[in-house]
Amino acid sequence: MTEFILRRFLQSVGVVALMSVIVFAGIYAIGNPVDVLIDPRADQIEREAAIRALGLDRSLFEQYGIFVLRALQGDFGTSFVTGRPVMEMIRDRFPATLELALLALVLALGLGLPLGMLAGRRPDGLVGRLINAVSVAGFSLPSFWIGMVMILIFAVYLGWLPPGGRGDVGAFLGLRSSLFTLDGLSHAIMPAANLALFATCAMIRLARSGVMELQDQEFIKFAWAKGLRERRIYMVHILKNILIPIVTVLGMELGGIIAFAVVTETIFAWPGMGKLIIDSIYVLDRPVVVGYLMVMVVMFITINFVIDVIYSMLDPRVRLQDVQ
Amino acid sequence: MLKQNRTAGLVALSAASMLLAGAVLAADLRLGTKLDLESLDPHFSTTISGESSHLYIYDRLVNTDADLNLTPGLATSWTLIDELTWEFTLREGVTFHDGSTFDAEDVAAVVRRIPSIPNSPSPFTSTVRDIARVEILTPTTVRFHTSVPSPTLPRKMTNVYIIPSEMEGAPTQAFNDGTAAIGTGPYKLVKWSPGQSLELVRNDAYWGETPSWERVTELVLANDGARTAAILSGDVQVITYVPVEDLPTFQGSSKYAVFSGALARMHYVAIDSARDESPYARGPNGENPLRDVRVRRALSLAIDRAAIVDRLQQGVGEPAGQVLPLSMKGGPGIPAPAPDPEAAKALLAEAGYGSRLSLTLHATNDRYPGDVEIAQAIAQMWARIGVDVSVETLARTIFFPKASDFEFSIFSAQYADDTNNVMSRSMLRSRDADKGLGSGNRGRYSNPEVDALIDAASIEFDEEKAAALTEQAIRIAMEDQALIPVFFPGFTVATTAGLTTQVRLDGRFNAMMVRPE
Repeated sequence: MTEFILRRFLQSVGVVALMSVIVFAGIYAIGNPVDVLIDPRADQIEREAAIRALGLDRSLFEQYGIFVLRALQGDFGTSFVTGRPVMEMIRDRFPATLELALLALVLALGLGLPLGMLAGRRPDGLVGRLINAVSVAGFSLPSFWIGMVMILIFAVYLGWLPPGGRGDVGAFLGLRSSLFTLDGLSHAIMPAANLALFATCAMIRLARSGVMELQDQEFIKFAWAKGLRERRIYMVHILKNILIPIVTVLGMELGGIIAFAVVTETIFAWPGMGKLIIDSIYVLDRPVVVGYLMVMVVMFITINFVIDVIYSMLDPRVRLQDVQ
Repeated sequence: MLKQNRTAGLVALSAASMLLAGAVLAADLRLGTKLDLESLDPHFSTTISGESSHLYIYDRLVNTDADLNLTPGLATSWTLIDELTWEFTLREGVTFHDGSTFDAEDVAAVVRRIPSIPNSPSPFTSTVRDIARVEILTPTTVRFHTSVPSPTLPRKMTNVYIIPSEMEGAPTQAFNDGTAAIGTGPYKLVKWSPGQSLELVRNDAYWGETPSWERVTELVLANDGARTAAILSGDVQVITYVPVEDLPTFQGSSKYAVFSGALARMHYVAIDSARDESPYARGPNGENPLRDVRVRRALSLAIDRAAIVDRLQQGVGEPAGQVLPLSMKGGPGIPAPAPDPEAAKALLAEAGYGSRLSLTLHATNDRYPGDVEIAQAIAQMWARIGVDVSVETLARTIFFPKASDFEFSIFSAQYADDTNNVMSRSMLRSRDADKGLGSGNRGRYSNPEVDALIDAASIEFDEEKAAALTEQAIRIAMEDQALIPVFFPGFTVATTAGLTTQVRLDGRFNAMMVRPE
């Protein structure tokens, strides 16, 4: 177990370092951020001053070297655009994205799992076929379009929910989140549902196929024969066994949701990290892009690690080791 | 004059529709803006969002009215003492939000602070660069001693925001978290959530006109659909940059009003008239055809400017024949030329090119509303007169560095500035990096006659004479077709019924400009 953890840790350091080199070089190759950021009315004198101020007059190696030295001391640089420390900007936005992602995950599991199991139990029944059709639709329709339709229906026509933005933040057990207030929840429910769409449909389909496959297994038939109640068969025996692929997919989805919630955040004007990163890429705000990607890589690695551990807990046959 | 279009539906407004529209009568105002406010430090970097939103909290010595004429701000008057000295008389009885008094010390502190801001991607330094020394005569009189004659110093002061002298050493961080964000403006900061919202409360001790609103909230709604949805659902009462597709919805409804006007901004085509050989402009012998003024004029005559404004900008904006709208002083008053493809073809034939001219027009695809469509339209208009033209559009991160490095031959972009004088210095004068001239002149146009006139105008203190010199310079440059002005883009604002506002030539917009009807 210790060996596993250590190896994973070293791998993550390697990945982070490699990624930072690639991003640095990539953004450098696109062009000079000063030309994008500077007031078009600025004259050459100011342009030169701005280039010097941002350290862009140095060679790529020098800039990267300075970055690494500072990073090792915990300073990930300041944004070109706002001058604020990168990690502070990310820390500002991270809770918003995390809220949305967790709510989306809860929705996906809470809706997707039961619906999928229901569909799998009697796949040819009316309910089963209906759920199946809806899940295909959810997969296929683009989420930004569904998001806009939701805003149109619930915010503009019905006026039940606000059209966008994040609500009031409340505190609970020392944590601050907009999910702890009613206003905050009303703001979060639509974007979370929009974000959860894909994951929910994935859950439904996975649960459905998992249940269908397991129902015909010998040990389930034995359980029926033994006289176990249907509820116990499904909720205990089948559920536990379908959880393994579901947990894996959920882990992947969570990472994706957090990292790529850009579209949803843009449509619902949700002040999360997705919008921050896309805006930063558009203006070549390199420190923010590099800092953000580093955080994302660490997050993905952590999620993968947690998934593997849960895996081993769910299935005693699995030993924690990396493929040789 | 500013073109202001009000929908006819607004006239039919009644109390009933005011109630239907929602919280119009409340003393609070919520606005939806497109652009993010990057910082609360008014000296950190020049941004379009800052130009509008910093005005809530901070004032300047000199203000501008909607037509960009200078008006008194924190300075009640200013006079020229001699060629290198300006004297400003400051307003008395003005207090900052923290209760301290505004006086000459604050002005001196600001002039010191601006050049000292570190890490700025777009510094304000040019506003105070000419000032060699600030002399405080009395707490309400200050003299700026300049290193070179600076006739435009009062205008430069319209971008110098006043903060208390105690905050001179405060880092940008302190402004961003609110502790140092103190000014003399009509509103006080309540809370700033970057990328999300700016909350302000009325400054009851404001020296100027009492603000209409008790509380103001500016929400950042960058996505066009989100902004429209916000006003339609009543979440905000005002939005800026009304998406072109949604204009008919607002214009046709009595529950909303649309305000639009042209900006001091030019959509133009830059032309490489300097090089003998140009990478994307080729005549039959590989030479640069854009060096011939007849070719440039032909390209200008081929463009149907009215059609572009009508079809691609929903009628918001004005066709252009010079660098800034006709209503602005210092321009030669050249109206937009009517499209004349026959004359254009004749000019090309006269220049010896006929149909043997090939061009690639470059443009951005993510910077200006309709930038791609405008470039395509212009290219098609040129194809009609026999030019072999192709269009290439690039993301702005790639476009601007290349344009700055002079890698294009002919490209379509926009440029904005407050006066004809400054426009000509930047766009039409030959480049001189040491003096900061011709920084926007990406076609490297160079005409000694124009240069002489522009240089004379920049040290001319008599406004009328300066305007005449600038006018002459721009006239010559336009006859020489240094660049091709296409149109002046417009700015649109939509409000719920019951509110009235206006559009300024510089596109600044904030809650101070919105009033109940």
